[in-house]
Amino acid sequence: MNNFTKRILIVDDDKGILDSFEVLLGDRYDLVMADNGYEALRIIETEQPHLVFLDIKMPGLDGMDVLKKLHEEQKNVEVVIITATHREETEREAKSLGAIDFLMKPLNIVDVERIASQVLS
Amino acid sequence: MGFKVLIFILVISISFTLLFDRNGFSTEKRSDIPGTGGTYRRPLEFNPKTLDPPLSLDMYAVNIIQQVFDGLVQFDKDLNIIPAIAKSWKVSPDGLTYTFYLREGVKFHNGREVVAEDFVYSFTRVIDPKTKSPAASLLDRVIGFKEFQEGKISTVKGLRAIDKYTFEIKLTEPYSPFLSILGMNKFKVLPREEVEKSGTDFGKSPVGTGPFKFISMKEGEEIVLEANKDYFEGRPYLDKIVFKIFHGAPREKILTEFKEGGLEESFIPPEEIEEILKQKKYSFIQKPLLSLRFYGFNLRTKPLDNKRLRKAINFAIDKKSIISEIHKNQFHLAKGILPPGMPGYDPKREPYPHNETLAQKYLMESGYGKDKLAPTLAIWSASKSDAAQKELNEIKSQLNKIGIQAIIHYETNWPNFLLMLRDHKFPIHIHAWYADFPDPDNFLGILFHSKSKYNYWAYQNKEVDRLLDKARAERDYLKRMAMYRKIEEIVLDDAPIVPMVNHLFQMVYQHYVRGVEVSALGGPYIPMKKIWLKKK
Amino acid sequence: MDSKKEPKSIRLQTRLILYSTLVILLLMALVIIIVEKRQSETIQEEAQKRGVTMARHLAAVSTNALLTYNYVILEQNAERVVLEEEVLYVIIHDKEDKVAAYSQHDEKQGMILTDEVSQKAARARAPLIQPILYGEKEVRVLDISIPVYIKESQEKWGTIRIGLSLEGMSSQILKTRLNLLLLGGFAIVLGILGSVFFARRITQPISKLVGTTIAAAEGDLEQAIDIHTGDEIGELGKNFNHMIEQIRLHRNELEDRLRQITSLKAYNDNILASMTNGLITADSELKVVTLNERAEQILEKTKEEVANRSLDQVLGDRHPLYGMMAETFAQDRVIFQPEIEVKRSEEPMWLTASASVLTDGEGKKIGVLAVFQDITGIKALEEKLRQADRLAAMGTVSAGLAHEIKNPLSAIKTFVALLPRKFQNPSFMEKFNITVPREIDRINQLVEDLLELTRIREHLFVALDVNHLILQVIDLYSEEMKKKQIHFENHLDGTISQIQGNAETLYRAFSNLVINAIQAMPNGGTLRISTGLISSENPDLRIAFSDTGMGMDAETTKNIFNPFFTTKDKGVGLGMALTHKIIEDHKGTIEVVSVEGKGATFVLSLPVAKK
Repeated sequence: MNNFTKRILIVDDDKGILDSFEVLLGDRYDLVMADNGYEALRIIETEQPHLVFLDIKMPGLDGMDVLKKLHEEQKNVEVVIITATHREETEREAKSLGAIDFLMKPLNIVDVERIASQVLS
Repeated sequence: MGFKVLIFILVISISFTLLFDRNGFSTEKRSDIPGTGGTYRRPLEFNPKTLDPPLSLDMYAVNIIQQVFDGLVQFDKDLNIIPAIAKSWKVSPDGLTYTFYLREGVKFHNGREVVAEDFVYSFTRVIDPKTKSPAASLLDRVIGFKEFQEGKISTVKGLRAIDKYTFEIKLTEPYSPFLSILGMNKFKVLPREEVEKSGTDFGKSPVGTGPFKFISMKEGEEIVLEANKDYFEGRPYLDKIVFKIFHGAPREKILTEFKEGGLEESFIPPEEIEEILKQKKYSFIQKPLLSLRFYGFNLRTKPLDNKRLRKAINFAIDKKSIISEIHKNQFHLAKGILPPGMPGYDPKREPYPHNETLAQKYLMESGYGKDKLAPTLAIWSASKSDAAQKELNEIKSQLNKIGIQAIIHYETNWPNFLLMLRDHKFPIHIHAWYADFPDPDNFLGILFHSKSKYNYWAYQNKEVDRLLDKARAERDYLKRMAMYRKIEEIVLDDAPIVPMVNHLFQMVYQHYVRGVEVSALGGPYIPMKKIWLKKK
Repeated sequence: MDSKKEPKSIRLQTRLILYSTLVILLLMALVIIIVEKRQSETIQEEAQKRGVTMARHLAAVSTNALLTYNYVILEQNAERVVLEEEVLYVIIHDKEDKVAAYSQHDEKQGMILTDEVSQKAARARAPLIQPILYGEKEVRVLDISIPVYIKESQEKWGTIRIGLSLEGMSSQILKTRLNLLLLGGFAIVLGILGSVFFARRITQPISKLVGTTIAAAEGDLEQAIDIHTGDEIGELGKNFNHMIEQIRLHRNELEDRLRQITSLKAYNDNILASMTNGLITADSELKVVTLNERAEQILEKTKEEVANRSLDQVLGDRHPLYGMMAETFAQDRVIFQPEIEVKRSEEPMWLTASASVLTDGEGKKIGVLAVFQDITGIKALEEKLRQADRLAAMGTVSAGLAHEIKNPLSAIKTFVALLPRKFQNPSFMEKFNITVPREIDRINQLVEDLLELTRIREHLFVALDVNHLILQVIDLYSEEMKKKQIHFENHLDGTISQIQGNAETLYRAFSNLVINAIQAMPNGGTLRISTGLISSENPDLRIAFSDTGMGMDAETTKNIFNPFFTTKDKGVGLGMALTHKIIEDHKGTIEVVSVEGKGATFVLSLPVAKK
């Protein structure tokens, strides 16, 4: 795949979520999946996605840790947090770490598509 | 502090204990310390005949001889034989040899030392018939006596000077009283040169070894002796002795002089004794003497040759009453010849109690009596004292009772008396015999042996002689004494004498006179070398 | 040592000296008397013997002279004999009783002596001793007369008489007496000195001892006895010293202890005073002994009020504290009440109290002690905390729930939202038909689980084999484990694994645990499961699930069994809560120990026997 392909990484430990993203964005973009933070970082490193949908609650490295790492390394990638729980300080922290958006589950497809097209057009 | 005091006390008390340890026998026996000096005046009743020892016959001479001379041995106051010039002696077991060891340095009054040879000379002189010593017979047992006397030999073999200080006498047979004899006044040592110088006058100026030197003799007055400063026993205490001669004066006279202080001692008439004693001014000494006063019969004269007559006289005399009334019991009644105290004395003897009946009987048996009157008998006395006179008178009256007449005669000059006695001039005489030594032989032997020169009564009894000789040689004391008893019995039976009394030595002394020792031999034997005068 | 301390031993010394002096005096007196008597007797006997011997001797040598009336010899003999110091006179009578010899009285020779003594002597046929007084000075004399016989005859041949002066004897006796007295005196003095010395020697150390002990009794223990007699007293002195030393040490110790005790008491009092707990003690008659400050406050009583009054009076016999204390004392056991309600003036009070029996050193009951704390505040706080906890739990639950529901819901929502757009897409419809129902099931299961959690279910218990169950679970997940490189260590004790339980729910529990372990080891590791008895005393079964995974921090460990408690490390919300409930339903316990980074061990205990 070449860098021009619009690649999106989905990071969530829930299979349902991953499947839903698959059907939602799968036919328009190049989707890569990870079910934990470590995997996420690795893929970001190797696949260089342009956009990451990042769940927070995950075993091992959680979403916030990943975000931090990416922020530290100044990765050129856009991150959107997806989470079931909403807390103001979490949102603030995420945004301060460079997350471009903070989405609540259950996800609105409109929101998802919008962001995807924004980032990847 | 208290500790120290205690120790002090301790020490003191221990010392006390030690002090107390001295023997405190402070009872008697303490004596004054004698002081030297002074003159002693002694009464002598008669002038001694001679002062030559082997020739002395009377007690008066003995007085002086004892102070001027010494013999081999002497008697102490108990009549123990003690050394004189012989310091020791040895008698051989067989009793035949007497060895005398003389002291060295004994000097005669002329300064010469005494040696054994002097004794040989002196004893030989006694034996020598030329000396005419009545004591010669006492040495008749010395070997060579007979031969020497018979002139057969010139020296008496039995008398020997072994060396300068050793003198030996050998006897033919043992003679128990020999040592005692040598203590007699007869056997003194004489300096030959003086004897030979003086000759017969030696008796008038004797030279001996004694504690006192003869100084002078005023015949009939006094004899003076002086202390011998070189005497071998040490000088005597007295400086001088003066014998005052009283010629048979009554004893009262002597006593008066004594009381006046003219004498240091005096005889004392019996009646005065009590008085004197009460006064306590003077000391009084009394001692029974080995002596016998008796009436001696001259058996040569008739009728005294008649034994029965003699016995009758014996029975006739009432001795007891004489003694008690005249002599105031001053004397001891003599029952036998031997005086009490003389070995052999038998107190049971009472051969002649006063018994007129027996006197008569014997008178009858004698042949004299009513029919044939006994001749008057002369009784001679040397003493004319009151007592003597009284006694003689009493005897006279007692004899009268049985029909015997007696006349009393007095011869107060003693030497004369002695001469007459020796010449057998007295039918009956008063005589006293004092023992020379404490042996019965000195009485019985001396007086009654037929050969004795003192046998003035011419008594002769062969049996007595035999027994006397045997007794002399007898060494067993008891056997000897038994013999003398026998002899006495025989003699008494023969009645050659009438034993009257045994004398008592009785003298008074000035209170300042000390050291008087009287032996049983009497006054003459008092060692004046022991007398001292206590000065105030 | 000053003399005012010596009175007693001076008396002793005096007594010693006195007694020993008395004894010495008595002894000496006795000795002196006896010796003197014996000596006197002996001297007298001797003197007499001498006299008699002399007389006999004289008699023997005079026999011959008597036989022969040899006065000269007799006189010599007499004079010789009279030289003897003690002989004052010698008289020899001849057979006729006349004087044959009379020493120093020559004048008497031949006389018969008329005095009674002489008469008696002359008459005597046997030796006769007559004591007389002789001479001017009236000297005491024994007149000893010996009759002289010859062997063969009965006749008396004479009498030998010796006047033996007893003066010498007397003076000897006197001297002896004096000597004895002096010696005695000397000995007595010595004895006294000696006894003084020895008394002093003996009593001095004793008085030292006395002095020291008096001083010691008065408190001065610094004195040491200085006795060097080297005998029992020295021993005594040494021992005294030792003893005093001991006493001193003890006293010091005691003083120290007292100080300690005092400070301890002060400390104690401080503690009691500053204790936040109330303390009340009663004696064996249940009378109040102590009440500390806090108890005063709590019980609203003062120390003075309650002192020595009986507990039931003070507290009231319905007071729970009283009941506790009484029961404790009666039954001799510790009683702990975590919560007791006490009626108070304003509001009721809650106390935590424990009561125990007070014993003395030998274990005898002497009283009872109760300690109590006011937990009213705490309890309130606890309530608040519980509330907060509940809220928090609720929150957690909610959060967890939200999380668990939202994911499936989001999936469903997305699919549904896309439905209008993509319903004709067969691939989409395939995915739709797979995913949606699945997610709906997930939500349903979740609800079911929640219900399950709150449900009180009577489980049917059968005998089952735990190990078997566990192995089944492992079997199920073996693929996944293999994939994730997780090794299973089997420490299942085959001997004991039978319990009474519900297979289904236990299975569920075990599965959760395994899942949990797997999730904790994303990079592989070891899961060790062991079963066995807890201990020889405890028959319960112990099951341990140990993993070498990420482990948990303290917070997680604490809340692991709370429903929906999830951290970033754990995904399953209800699983552990359910496991917890299941185990509790089995009347067992479950705990977790974990070291962050190293792993975690879940320890279950399940009763073998039905409780």
